[in-house]
Amino acid sequence: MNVLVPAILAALVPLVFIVIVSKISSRYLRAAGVLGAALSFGLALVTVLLQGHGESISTLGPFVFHFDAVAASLSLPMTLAIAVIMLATPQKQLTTHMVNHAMGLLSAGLFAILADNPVTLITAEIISALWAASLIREGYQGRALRLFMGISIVAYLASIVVLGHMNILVQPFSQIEYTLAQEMYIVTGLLGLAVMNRLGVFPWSIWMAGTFEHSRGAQTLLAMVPMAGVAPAIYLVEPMLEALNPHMLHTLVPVLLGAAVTSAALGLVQNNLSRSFAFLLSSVEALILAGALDSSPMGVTGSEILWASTLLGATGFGLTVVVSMARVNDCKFSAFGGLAAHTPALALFFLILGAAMTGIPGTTGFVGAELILNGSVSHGIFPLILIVTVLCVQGLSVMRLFFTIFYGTPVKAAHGMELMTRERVAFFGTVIILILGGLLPSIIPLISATA
Amino acid sequence: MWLELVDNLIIIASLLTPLALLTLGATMLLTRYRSEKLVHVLLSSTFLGSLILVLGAGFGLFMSGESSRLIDLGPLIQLGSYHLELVLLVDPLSIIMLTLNFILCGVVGYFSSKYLHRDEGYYRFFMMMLFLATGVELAVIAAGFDVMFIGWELLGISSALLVAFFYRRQAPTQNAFWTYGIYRLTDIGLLSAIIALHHATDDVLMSNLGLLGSSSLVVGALFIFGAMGKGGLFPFTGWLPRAMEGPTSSSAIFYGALSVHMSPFLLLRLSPLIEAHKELQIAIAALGVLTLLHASMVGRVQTDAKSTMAYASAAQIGIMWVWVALGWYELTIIHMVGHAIARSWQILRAPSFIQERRILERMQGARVNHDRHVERFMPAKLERFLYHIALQRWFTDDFLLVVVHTLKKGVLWINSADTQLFQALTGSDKPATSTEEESSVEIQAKKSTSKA
Repeated sequence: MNVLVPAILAALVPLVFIVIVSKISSRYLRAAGVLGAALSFGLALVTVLLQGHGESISTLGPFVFHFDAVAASLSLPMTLAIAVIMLATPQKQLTTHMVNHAMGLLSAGLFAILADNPVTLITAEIISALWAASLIREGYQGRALRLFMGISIVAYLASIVVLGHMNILVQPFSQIEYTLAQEMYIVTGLLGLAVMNRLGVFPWSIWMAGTFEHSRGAQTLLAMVPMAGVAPAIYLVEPMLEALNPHMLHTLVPVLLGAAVTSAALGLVQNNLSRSFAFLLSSVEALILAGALDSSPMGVTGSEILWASTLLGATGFGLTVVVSMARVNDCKFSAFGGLAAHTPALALFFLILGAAMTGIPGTTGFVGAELILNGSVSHGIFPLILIVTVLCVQGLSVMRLFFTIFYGTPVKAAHGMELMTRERVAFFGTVIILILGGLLPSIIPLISATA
Repeated sequence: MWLELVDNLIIIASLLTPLALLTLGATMLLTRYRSEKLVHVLLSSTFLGSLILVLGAGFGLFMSGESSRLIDLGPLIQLGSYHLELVLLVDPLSIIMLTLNFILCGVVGYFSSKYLHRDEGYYRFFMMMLFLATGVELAVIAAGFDVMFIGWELLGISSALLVAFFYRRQAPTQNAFWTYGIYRLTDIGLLSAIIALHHATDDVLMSNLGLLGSSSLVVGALFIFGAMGKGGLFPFTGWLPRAMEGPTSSSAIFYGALSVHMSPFLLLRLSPLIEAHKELQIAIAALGVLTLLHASMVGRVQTDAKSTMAYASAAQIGIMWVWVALGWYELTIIHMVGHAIARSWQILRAPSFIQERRILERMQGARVNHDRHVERFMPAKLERFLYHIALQRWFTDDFLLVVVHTLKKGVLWINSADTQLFQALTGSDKPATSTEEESSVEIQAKKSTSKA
């Protein structure tokens, strides 16, 4: 039996739900969204359980799919992240358009982690960028998304052309022989640009901060959470650079870490919640990318675990940010203060999820960060101190946000500030999974597979 | 038989506090049920149970004739050659620290159950207290530095949250952020040292410190920097009086008893490394003496009881650092335990001091004289100069603030460039904040129209 059947079904189910969601009344949107993500999660779970009990490679024309420990570790948090978004998004922000795009992004994200050759991966990435570009239709935020996602799409398309010219477009990743061709430099540059832009690594963090500041909604979060973007760095950029010139990797990692430090510092000086969160996420994503381009296997595994953890951690923390902003209908710090008095549970979730996203000990993020740290030692003491600085500044940034939003003179009390049951369930579930992964890392397929 | 007993008792004792924390946390997050009695029973039974188990383990260790015992609970992470082992270390130092932890948490917990009765932050306080107890427990019992770091971090977070306990006022929140900032800054040293140790010895067990090669001096220096924050060593002493903004009982347990003593405790664990390098011994002694001088001098000119006690604590920590540098480890342990108990008692009694002083004066029939200090014998000019310096706390906080503001200026410039670029690229002619201001004005206008 081919274990990829349920995995591909998991990626196709959200597409079916796009059709269903378009037909149903807006009253059932949340239920449909949760159901779609839950079905997808169930199928992904079946694949994880079946892994190792049959064929795990499948070919559909030029597209090749493969299910391994990386896909196993990422498919579950990815589907859960969408389920959490569907559960906790404020009622006013939940539209047919948003649910459709959530399903589309989930499907593209799942196909990207299942991809086993460049054409499959880049196609999935392009589709993901297209979904993200059309998330917001109007205003500056819509324009920003179209502009920046457009840059990634153009770079991906150009890389397809060059890879096709090099005759490695349809070859499975494990069979590609990288030669020292001139085209390889071009592909690396194009993919690097596309990935950094898609992930919003500084200075491309500009679209994340600007868009989230203007929209403040859960729909922007869908474009920001790293559903896509990391896989091309792991499967294409890193091996290409390794073959071309390993010294470039040694230079690029500190540069990315510098970007992570800058983003974390930018998060620390903002005077509005949405921008702070965006820079914080940008910093985490730069750290993931730095780990992905680390030539050591430990760094790459750490990056994959941090990616999986960020999928869930950033979604959970981002939603607490969205929910907080929805409660005061603003994102400026001046509008907040003393929210802990009105909604203590939200305060606690905000703190735990923020800490989890930035890799506090006892959470899955810490496992990823610890492995990246240990991998980075091979690059010398400077990258090591940079990573530690990133983690410390990120932690400080989360604490600053917490103190600003939840402590201080309480804002005027309004009805409905306390968390609703569905929000509690979504946040509590996320916290439990992140802590379980941190306390028992052996349940993460990537760790158990390499133990 | 005795060693098996030690293993079992320590494992159960180390699970009790985290379980109580999870129970209280889940109750707070998932339900609206609140009962002071439940919290009181949960905490009393946890601390008392843990104390009995730890004392039993100590007795078992003594009877076994072993000086220390490693309990290997297996790998937490195993990835190729890399492994993060969960190993517990039971030795006289960890038994003493655990006993101190549970006795003081129990006593201060009992005191706080009355002190904070019907306070809106009652549950929050005890939640943080369980965080502290778990953090200390992990840090004290860990045989590896990475597991110790997990406890160290829990301690830092709970400490910052308790400084900001009275969260409706701005000052506690600002001081909590300052405190946490110092912790994070020094954590850079600690975490870097742990990773460097992992890389050099393939393991971060404390017993492997002697295996460090040429990098041992750098690793040792990083560890010492990491220990400076929690202990309030010079030039980071300023956070300690700021941290006294929290409730008296949290000040007693954190800054009088447990949290500050984690700094000399870490040095004790690093003793093989310190003994191997004269440079480290000199650095530790110098920092200790400097802290002692600074804290004694600045503490003299404080006008409130809690700040004076905070500086007194820092001065004592400075002395403990000197003991460690001299290799007098037993004295350090005795000093730590004695100081922790005496200082936490003193801080708990702080609100009654003024009243007690008045009673004393009434009994004496005269004012209690505190004017016979050594500075009275100095020339007036020098005395005034030193007084000014002490009042400004040796300008240490000002210096740190100048560094922070300089860095902030650069980051703000990048932020401004980022915002302008976004506006140029998207055609937005107004920054988002003004857009939101307008929209909130529109919402207000709509609300008033609908009300009308």
